[in-house]
Amino acid sequence: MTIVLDERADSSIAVYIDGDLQFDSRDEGLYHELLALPALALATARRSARGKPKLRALICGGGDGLAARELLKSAVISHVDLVDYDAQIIALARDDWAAINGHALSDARLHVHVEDAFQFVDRAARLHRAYDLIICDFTVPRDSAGARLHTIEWYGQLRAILADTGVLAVNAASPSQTPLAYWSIYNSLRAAELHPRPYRFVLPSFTNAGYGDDWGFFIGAARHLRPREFSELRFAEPRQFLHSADQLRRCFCFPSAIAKLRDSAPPTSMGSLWLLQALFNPTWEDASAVDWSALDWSHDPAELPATDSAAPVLPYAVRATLQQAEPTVSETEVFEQVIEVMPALRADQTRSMIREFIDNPARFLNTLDLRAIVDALLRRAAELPQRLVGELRLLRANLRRTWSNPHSLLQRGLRIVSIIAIVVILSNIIHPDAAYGKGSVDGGTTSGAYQSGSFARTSSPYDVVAPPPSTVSGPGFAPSRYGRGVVVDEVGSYYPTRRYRYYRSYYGGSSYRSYSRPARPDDPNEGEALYRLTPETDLLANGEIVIALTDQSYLLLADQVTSVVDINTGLPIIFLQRDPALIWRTHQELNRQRTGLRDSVKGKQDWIDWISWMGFAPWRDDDERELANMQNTVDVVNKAIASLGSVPAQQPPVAEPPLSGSYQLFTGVWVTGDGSMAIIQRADAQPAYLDRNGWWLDPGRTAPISDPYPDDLRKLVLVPFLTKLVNEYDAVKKSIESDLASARQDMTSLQKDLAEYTQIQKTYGPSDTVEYGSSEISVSQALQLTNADIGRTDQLISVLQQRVDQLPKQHEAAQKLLAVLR
Amino acid sequence: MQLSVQQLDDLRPDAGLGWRWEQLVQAAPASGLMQSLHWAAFKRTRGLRVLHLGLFAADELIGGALLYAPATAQPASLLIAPEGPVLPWEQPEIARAGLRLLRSAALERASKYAAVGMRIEPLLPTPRPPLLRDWGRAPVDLLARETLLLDLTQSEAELLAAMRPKCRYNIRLAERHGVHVRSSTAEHDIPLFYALLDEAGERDDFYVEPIDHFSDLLRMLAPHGLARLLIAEYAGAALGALLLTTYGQRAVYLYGGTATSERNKMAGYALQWAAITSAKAAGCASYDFYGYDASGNPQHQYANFSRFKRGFGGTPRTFIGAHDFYWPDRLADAVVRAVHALR
Repeated sequence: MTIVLDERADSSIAVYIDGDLQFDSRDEGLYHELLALPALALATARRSARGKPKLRALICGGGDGLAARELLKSAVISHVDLVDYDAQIIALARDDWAAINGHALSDARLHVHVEDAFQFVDRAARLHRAYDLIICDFTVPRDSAGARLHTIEWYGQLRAILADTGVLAVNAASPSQTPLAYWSIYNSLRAAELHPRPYRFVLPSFTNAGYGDDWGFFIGAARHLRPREFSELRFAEPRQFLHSADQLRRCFCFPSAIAKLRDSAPPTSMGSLWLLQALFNPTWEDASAVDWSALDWSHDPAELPATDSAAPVLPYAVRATLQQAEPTVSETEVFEQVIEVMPALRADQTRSMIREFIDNPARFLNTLDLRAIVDALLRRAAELPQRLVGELRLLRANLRRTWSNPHSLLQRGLRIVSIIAIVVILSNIIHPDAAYGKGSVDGGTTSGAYQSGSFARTSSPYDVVAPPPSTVSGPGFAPSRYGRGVVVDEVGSYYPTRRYRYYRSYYGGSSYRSYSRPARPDDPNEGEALYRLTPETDLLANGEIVIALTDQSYLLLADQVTSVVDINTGLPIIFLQRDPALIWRTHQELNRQRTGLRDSVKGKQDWIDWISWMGFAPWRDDDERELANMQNTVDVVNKAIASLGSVPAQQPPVAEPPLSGSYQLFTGVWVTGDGSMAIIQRADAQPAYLDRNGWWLDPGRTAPISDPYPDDLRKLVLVPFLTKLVNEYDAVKKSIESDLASARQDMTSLQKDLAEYTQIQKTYGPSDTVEYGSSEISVSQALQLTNADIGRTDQLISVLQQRVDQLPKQHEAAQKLLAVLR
Repeated sequence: MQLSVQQLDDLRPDAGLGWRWEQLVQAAPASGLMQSLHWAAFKRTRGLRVLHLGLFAADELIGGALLYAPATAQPASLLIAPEGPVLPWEQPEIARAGLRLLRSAALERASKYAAVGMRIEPLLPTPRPPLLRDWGRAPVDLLARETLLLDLTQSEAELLAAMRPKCRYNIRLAERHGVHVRSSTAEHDIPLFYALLDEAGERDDFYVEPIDHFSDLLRMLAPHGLARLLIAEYAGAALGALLLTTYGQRAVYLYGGTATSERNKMAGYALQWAAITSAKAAGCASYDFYGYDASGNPQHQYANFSRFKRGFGGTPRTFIGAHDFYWPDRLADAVVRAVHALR
């Protein structure tokens, strides 16, 4: 067990156990009051009704002494057994955290047992001990040892030591973030006949740590807890957060969509990994609705699902998808569905991490000697279904004819290939370090040559392709971040901001026509970007839309013109014709992100309403400021949309080159096909043809433009922009060429080996043994494998050569223009 | 030469065969800290199982591998040797025979780890040696395959002179701003380090291991002088932090992050320079920036931080990356079990 203490400047502390937040002293009171006091009040009421006011309690886990602190507030508690297996936590609780837990561990009523809770409870059951109150305060399980503390067997043992009138409270999970895990625990309690009722609340530190928008407990008893028992509860004093029984009753309200999921979460038995996989694969349901109450019924009418009892060979989600595949669905689609549901198998993984990890499933087959594996599987044909054996034979015949292309293999519609790929993928995922790997291979081959994931930019940098809007998940809108030297994007991620200088009077109207640099106003406006629309596009606080061009210049979109602005002086360098296609795309993107932000605002508002209704809201100010920041961002986006002026109703066609064969550098600026000139589409729709020496109205450079030559455009915009472009292209080319050189080197070595093997076979026969890599095999096999390697390498060489050949021709034009303008 | 493989259990890094193993790893240019017994101890605290195989020529330990496997493995797992195996790669015939023996020894023990294959990731520069021809290129690399190495045998003045002027300027600018870098091996600095790393992960879109990974790492390695934190502070606030490992002749900038705010204080530059000088003082001959794209390709996964690292000079290096060898019968067995699970 690893304990990390975060001691903050304000004297508060946060404690992490094995990487998970155990408690934060700023709000642990809320958690522990809600876990311990309702159960204590119910148990007290039940015992009092029988004229037996004193209670014996058991705390399982909770070595920090904080749940104990809550119980010991009550004079009716006569004895508390606290069992925790971690002596280190107990020692910290006794000394370092004594002020926080109210010296609970020094209370004479408390008896600490450093041992495994399972053993302790087992012994207590054998000794027929009974407790009036049991609190389970374990950390959320990360492994099978932790998961057993939520099994039917465990809860069965607790039921055995729970007094007839006794009450049990259990720390569980987030109902909205991991609803299936939450309800699986619920159903295990039900299966053990502990008649649980679910309740939940919001814990700011848990929400900030990413554990969910709510947090859930269960309260149960051997004898049903009647709804009326919750009406007039008297909670132990003093309390900071839990005010009344009414407030507690609100905690039993859930969104019905979440409540419905309890039908599909099985109770678990020892050995099952169902709960762990459900915990590792959150689904993030909306937490805010309260249209279902767990106090509305006496007995939960939901059917109890069948128990899950064994460790699975395949993860549940994968098995279910493969088993449920409709015969009409193609094998490729089934495989894609499996990849889509491929769960995280460890506590520190996330499903999105796994999805990224297997972005290219074919690469997992690349590494295999498929022929050898197919042969090994055929040797076990008797253990396999006929259909798969047939597929294996087909595969074997195919592999004989040609070398295997993993991509096409996956598309051949063979279930056996899917299963091999899934097993190999799982063997990778299960390794703790895999998903954090520092590099990944794009199309790596067994030939030892590598592709670098090279790319070539063929379209305008301002093309925007983004996923549909989703609610904010990052901290960028939080009051501690927003507008404080950072720029935030639609999901709440934040980045260093860029500062922009500009003169308001030069754009946004017709004033550009009378613009004169010498007559500029004294000081430029200076604005920080507030919102990042795309990696290049920022919105300033006043809604201006700016697109970074180079370190020294940016584009400013406005309703009549597009200005190129000097980032340092704020002065316009040149006014360009408005590009309707760019305006349309930007408008589309602004609209899309506005929809997402509005959804986020609504989601946040609903959540604040819910926590306000619950009545535990000491932290609400921060949330309201965050909400205000999100709303402010929507306003900024509105202003940005307004600043665009008229927007074409339909997507305009991509701008035609002003001169045949020219390429666009960025909106309004082109390079001629021969790289001799830049073409500037000025605001007055007149193209200007520009080189190092001047600018003209015609491509023949016979009609000079009377306005002064825009040297700043050349110096601050075109030269740096082209330099960057050329460097990027060079880098891409260099990278592909380096892969190509490596592949060719490999080919030479393979050809040499082939010649040697051929000679050996000729001289000594096909069964003579030779070295192939680190193996010793027959020369005929070595020849076969080397020929396959040569085939693969040859194909790689062609692919790489194709990539070099396909590098856009504008590269050469850009290079020439750069030479011209420098 | 008569070669053999033995399983080495519970070696201590400071005595006997354990000490010999550490000497061997430190002297092996294609290996590093992840093949040391200290790293193995750290990984054990993280719940991994470790298989240590030693390669002997007669009675002399000449190589081997520390192979790591997950604690539980369904339906299958891999035995992974990052920065390994330790082999005399410069002697291909011995390396070939040694690798073959290590692979057989791992196969003999594979069922204990539910392993269907073996992954190796020696720090060998490209091109891949022919003796790995029967190994497949792995789908993922654990280590940074492309990196930037700084030669620490140069004097500080020479190192500074070899940097790009802007980088040199920024190091001095950070100093003028009053950015101070302190070294720490205290576990209580982990939350601070982690907050900065997490912030960088969020900003630059990379995954960050859980916080206890780092506290375990520091706790297990710092007492042996193999890991330390460097924290750049300005006006009482931490602007950047870095986790540096030093082992043998090699220092590695393994993890680090800077704050999104106060970027103009150039804390990242101060931090790297402090790490470089600290590694030099620790007697290291090279400083590994751990992840670098030499081409300048803006779409490369390392593009963002490569621009920053480029300023420090150094020599780009590309390794062959991770390679896999699957045992057909073991993989077939896992596939058969998976098929049965679907019935």
